[in-house]
Amino acid sequence: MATSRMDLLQGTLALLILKALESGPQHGYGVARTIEQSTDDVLRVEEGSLYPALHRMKERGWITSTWGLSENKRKAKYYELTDLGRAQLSHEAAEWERYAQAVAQMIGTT
Amino acid sequence: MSNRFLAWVRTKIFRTQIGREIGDELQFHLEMRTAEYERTGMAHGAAHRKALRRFGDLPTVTSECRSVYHLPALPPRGTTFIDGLRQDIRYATRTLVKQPGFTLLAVLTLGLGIGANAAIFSVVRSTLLHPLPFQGGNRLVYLWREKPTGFITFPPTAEMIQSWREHATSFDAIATYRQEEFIILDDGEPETLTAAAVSADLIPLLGVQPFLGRAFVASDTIPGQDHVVLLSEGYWRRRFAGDPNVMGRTILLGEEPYTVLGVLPSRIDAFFGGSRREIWIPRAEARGTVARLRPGVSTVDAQAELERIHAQQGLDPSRVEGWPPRILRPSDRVASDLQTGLWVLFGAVGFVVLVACANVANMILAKGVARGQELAIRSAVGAAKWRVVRQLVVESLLLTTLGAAVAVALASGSLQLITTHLPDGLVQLGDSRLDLVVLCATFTLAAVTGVLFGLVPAGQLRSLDLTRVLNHGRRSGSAGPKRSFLRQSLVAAEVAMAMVLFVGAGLLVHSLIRLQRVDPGFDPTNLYSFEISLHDGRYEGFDKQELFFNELLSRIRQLPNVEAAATGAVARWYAPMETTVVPYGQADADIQSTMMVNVVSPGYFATVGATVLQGREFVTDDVRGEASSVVVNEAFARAYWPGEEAVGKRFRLANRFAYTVIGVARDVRVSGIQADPNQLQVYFPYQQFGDLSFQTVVVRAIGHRDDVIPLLKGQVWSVDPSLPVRDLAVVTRLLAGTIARPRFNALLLSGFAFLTLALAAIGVYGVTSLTLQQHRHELGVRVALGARHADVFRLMLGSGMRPIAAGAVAGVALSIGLARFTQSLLYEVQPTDPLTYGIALASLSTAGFVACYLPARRATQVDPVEALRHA
Repeated sequence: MATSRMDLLQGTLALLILKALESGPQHGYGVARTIEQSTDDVLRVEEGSLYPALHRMKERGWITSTWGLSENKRKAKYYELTDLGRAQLSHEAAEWERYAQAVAQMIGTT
Repeated sequence: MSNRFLAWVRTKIFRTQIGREIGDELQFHLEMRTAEYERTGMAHGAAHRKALRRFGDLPTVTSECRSVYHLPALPPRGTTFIDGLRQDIRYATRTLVKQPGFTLLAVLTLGLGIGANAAIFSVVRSTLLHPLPFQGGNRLVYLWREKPTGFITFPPTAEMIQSWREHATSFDAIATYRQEEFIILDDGEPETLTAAAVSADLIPLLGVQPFLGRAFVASDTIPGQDHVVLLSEGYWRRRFAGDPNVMGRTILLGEEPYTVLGVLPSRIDAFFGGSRREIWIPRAEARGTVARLRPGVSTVDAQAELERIHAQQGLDPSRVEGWPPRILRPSDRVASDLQTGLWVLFGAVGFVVLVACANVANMILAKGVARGQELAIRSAVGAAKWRVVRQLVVESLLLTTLGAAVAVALASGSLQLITTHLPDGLVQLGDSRLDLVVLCATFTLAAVTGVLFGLVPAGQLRSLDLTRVLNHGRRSGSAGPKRSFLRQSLVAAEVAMAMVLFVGAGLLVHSLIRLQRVDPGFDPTNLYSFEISLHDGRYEGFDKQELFFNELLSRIRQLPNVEAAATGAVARWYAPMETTVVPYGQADADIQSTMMVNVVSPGYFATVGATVLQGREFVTDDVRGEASSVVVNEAFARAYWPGEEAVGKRFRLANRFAYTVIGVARDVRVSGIQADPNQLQVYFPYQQFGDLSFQTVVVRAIGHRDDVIPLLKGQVWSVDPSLPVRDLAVVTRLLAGTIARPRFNALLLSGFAFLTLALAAIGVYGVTSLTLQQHRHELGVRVALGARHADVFRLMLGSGMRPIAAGAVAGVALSIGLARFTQSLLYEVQPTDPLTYGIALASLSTAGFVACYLPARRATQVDPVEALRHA
């Protein structure tokens, strides 16, 4: 399973971004790396989806952005969860859990 | 409104701030990803490329992020439509500047073609389409009466006007006008002042108002109250230096005081065809009639109504008093030969434009070679097809806009030239100017031409196969047989049109030469004439008038450089008389004939040099009142006494007056070169004529000296210092004036013909040069295989002359087909005159040959080695 990479399902991307930002502010590249590393590079984040998703989430008020200095002293845009975002994260995580269980029951792997 | 404005402002801020931030953010991401790959040991370049590939389509992602904020997606280079257009224009400008020869030639060609078109269109518009430039001028009509057999129109009778005013419902108003003349002393020299004597409603009918003072009212025409005057703007500026307080001042007209009411704007001058009336006076009785049609009433309806009213009057329509009414539109009153001439010129100038366009199209086609490659590459590197097409259209539009600018400059210049060299009957042209409509038409023409030209190479783009064009390079991308056929056809068409214009111009020049050789029947050289009008209280009655002329003639004859003098018309237009001639002893046929009446003094024939063939001319002893004697012309004698001696014959005119023929004179073209020499002419001795109030004086001077002119004036003023001497000129000039229109037409058409010829020659030269360029390789092979210079030369010349020959043949056929349009402009020249066609063919072939010769010469100098290497 580690050899093949899964493309992210639409809709789960928001959940993964929220999850990646749970531990603290990150820039876009950091979000992508966090998702890739925490799934052992199984989940591959498409930049084409990541950045529009970040901007959409910001418009919805789940995250805010500030310009800060990156680890290599470059100006970078950092994203941070809002309270609304935190609520959304727990909501979406619960949703996902229910969904995953439903799928597992149906195909009988658990 | 303000919401939308705020949104717009927000978008602007987004574009400059958030938009830039998105760019920076994504850039940062790419840098981080590149650094990540570099850490795995990749080179920077490779790492960057891999990061880009990994990222996907940067512009798409950018656009998607922007769309979150409702920002418009930006095209790849971050440009808007307007930016793109600006870019296209900059690019097109660079392209045109890079090839100055092509650009200059194309702009000049288009400028000449469109400019000539704009100039002639202006003339046609002001002369034929809108002769009366007044508000609602297209509803103004003239009311006349016309001989039932046509051709002769007279103003209506006072009774007719009265009945129309009472009964006709087709018109808003019917107004009348006539001309009146007053003598004024201006700077000591007596001068004639021309006045428009109009009914009070004429000026409002034209929709004109005095810009100073008041207009006429109905009570102004009542005798006793009618000594009021409106000044024309020109006269007001000249005589009163534009004095704004001129109202209420008194001017003397024929020794009677008139009070100035106001000043009329100069645009009203157009009502008299641009021949200015200095002053306007109110008069109820006049017979020139102009009316404004009610909205929705056609001239046909109005004509029918007038005829109905006329029929109720029970007049004899064959009599001049009973001629039926006739409605004429303003353009109907423009002389028919002038109309034909202008339409022919208009058609001709259309040919010039077509040739100019064909030429530019041909140049663009020829450049299609290089263009094909460029376009193929541009669309291969990702330029959208519509962008490439737009680029081409922009380039052509730029070219044609430049052409149009040149055209406007040329047109206004040539209009100036045309209007200052106006022949007499063309006074309406004095008002021709480049107006807004003409300008719009010019630019539309330019724009349409531009778009069409733009689509020529664009159309090729569709059929262009990139790999073929790029692999085979110059040669195969260009000269498919189809395209070279198109180019040759264009050249053939140009030659055909040049041929048509050359034949047309040739025919007009040929008839002009004929006209100039016409023997007028008298000797106009050293013959001077002027007009004297005795419409003045001091000359009431025939006795005083005769006394005046006898005295004047005897004083003139005393001048040292005068050989003879007399009175009688020559080289002037005058109204033909309509009457019945009944020779004694012949049946009382009562057929009306049209004849020219000339009242002459003794010595007239000797003075003008017209021969009296039989009998004698008048002498001073022909006492007035006695058996009235007349001289008739040959045509008159032939018509009534064919094969007989006319002298001594008697006839009655209008069934009343009896006359005896005492002489038969040679047919003379009294009214001008183009007059019908077979026109019936009757000469009355002035002693027997009741009224000498308007006479032409003719003087035969010794030697060709214009210094007789002041002497003649001096003699007139020695008899009466207050008499104006009108139109004093040498008769040769007056005669030349009567063929001014044919000369004008011939001159202009010749100009167009040479212009077209030059354009066609440029076209031939261009195509032949291109053929040389494209077949360099083939010619090189031929020379290498032993072809001689002569063979190459013949080959090139043959291929160049082929479309010329085809075009010439088509042109001859077209000319014969179009001949009937010029027929009425020709004088004693057949529209199929072989000499003219021969000369046109020879000129065209010569020009074509020269245009082919130069490239053909160059072809013989093709170096086979070089040609093969560079192929």
